[in-house]
Amino acid sequence: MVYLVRHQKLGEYRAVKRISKSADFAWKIREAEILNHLKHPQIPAIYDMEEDEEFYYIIEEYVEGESLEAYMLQSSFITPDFISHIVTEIAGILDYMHHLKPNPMIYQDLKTEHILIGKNGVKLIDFGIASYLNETGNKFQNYGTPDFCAPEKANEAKISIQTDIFGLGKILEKLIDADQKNTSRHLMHVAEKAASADLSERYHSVEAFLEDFLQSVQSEKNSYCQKHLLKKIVAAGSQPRTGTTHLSISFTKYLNCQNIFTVYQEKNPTNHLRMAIQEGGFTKEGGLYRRGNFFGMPVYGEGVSVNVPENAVVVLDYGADIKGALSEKADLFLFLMGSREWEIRQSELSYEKVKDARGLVIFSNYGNRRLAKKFAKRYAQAVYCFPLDENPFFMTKEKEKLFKGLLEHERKRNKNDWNCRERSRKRGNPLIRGAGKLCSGRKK
Amino acid sequence: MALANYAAGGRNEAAAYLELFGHGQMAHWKNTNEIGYFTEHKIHYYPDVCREEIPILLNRGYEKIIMDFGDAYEEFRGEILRCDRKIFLLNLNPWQEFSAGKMVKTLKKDDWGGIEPLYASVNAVDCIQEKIEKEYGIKVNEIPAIPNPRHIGSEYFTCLDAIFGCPAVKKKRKKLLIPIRRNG
Repeated sequence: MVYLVRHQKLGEYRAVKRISKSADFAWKIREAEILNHLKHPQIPAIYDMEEDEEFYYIIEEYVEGESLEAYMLQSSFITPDFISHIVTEIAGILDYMHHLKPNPMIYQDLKTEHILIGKNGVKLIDFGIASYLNETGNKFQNYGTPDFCAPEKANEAKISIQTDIFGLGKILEKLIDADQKNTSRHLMHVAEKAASADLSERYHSVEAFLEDFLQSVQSEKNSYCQKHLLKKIVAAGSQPRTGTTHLSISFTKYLNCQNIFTVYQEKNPTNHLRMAIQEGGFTKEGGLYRRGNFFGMPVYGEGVSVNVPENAVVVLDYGADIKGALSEKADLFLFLMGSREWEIRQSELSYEKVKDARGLVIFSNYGNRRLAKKFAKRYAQAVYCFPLDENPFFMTKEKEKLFKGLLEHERKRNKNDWNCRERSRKRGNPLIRGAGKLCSGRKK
Repeated sequence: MALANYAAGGRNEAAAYLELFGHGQMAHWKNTNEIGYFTEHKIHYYPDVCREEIPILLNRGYEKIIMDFGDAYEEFRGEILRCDRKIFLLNLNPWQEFSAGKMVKTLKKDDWGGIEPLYASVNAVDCIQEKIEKEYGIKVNEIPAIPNPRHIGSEYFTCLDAIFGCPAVKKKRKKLLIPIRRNG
């Protein structure tokens, strides 16, 4: 039984573990002895131990936060940075334990429930079955959680620091599963090697694991930040109410899903983003507002200065302000044409203004494929058909397919100007492959 | 001015700044229009406002009105009472400790209409802050020194939101992961 208590005079919170003096639970006191030997900022400190006739009371540091298990259940978005942070921190704790002098320790029970994420960072809790490396008999051999338990524990073979590395590999695997879209093969290989059932294949030390892990994280990062990465995207509509904001937000969301840090920037006076923020569901980070993996910046006045991070791709939403959009030197110019009958005339007039824009990409809205084909034929240029969509903050397969095809096609077209990361290279014409979502026009 | 700038530029609200301490600094900065204000970064600045003008200005549809009472807080007690946020800036330096103490003492005498005043200080000396807090049973909030109140960086947004007492974002309630029990 664990109690949360508050010191009456100091007002400090502490966790008090009450352990019965019965024979079954007496070994639990070992945790207090072990914690007493561990002095690490990410391991809860032990303050005191009291006892009465029936119970022992271990007074420990109160660690506020939620477990990695709960975090992964609730959060639909696990970033590679998050994975890197968690794994590095846990590896750091294990490395400290494995090099403890004079007696190194092994944790033995690494699992997502025992990792707490709080305001003071990551903490490892529950050292109930931790043991000294040179301890005879390898105590608590049979304890552990099936999903995270190393095979040598189950087989009652000798346990070593590699047992902890197995747990670390399992944690990494779980995190990769949560971030299935974005993880590189190299990182998966690191996880597989760490969680290998064969001891000879598994990493022999945390340092070796960490070296490979950090290398693969870095290579992953480098692949996002290529020299000629797409940096600035401008979006404008042929007239008001064509859905430029919807398209821009969707595109920002897509790029972020592909691990390309992208910020949506509102450059029109409609204030739609701020209205969405007022509805709730956003968090504020500096001057940026975040909703899942969408980052947006509303219109700010002259009195404040908010800078978009240097490594970010920006999607500038100019609404119906074509003149403003043309003044930007962008890598891509997303031009959304109204496809309702009463909008066609204005769309055509607006097209005349933007037809020479650099990196022009034309969209027709409301999923009107017939009209998209018509525009494509008329302008001898690919016209993408933006589907009817309910929520721009939610990435549908239809939109994903559309944007993926668009980037592949545009990357080839603008080969010398910019490049962007792509997951799988498929041959063939993306316009045809777009399963009817994209419409093509042949150059005359 | 930083608050007014943040309200107008950062929160996109219709904001006005009222100079009430009567030193006339604003009047020397820019000339007012016929209605009695000048505009800078979308903020309407009203120089040298008299007590009688306040009700008129309150009805001009501003979302945020920042009233700068300077050191005339005793003189304008009635007006301060009607404000939604009452912010008192204390200078907690060794040479200004006496004035700060005097100010808090005066303010503590009065009832502030159910809304407790917010005490804030820039670059407070820790020991003096502690002393004042203990002596008068108040909490002094430390606020960062904003180098240019007419050009605020995003690092000050959180603090300014806190001073306004209204978060910039509304958090959606998380669903509780409680298993549903079915009877029978």
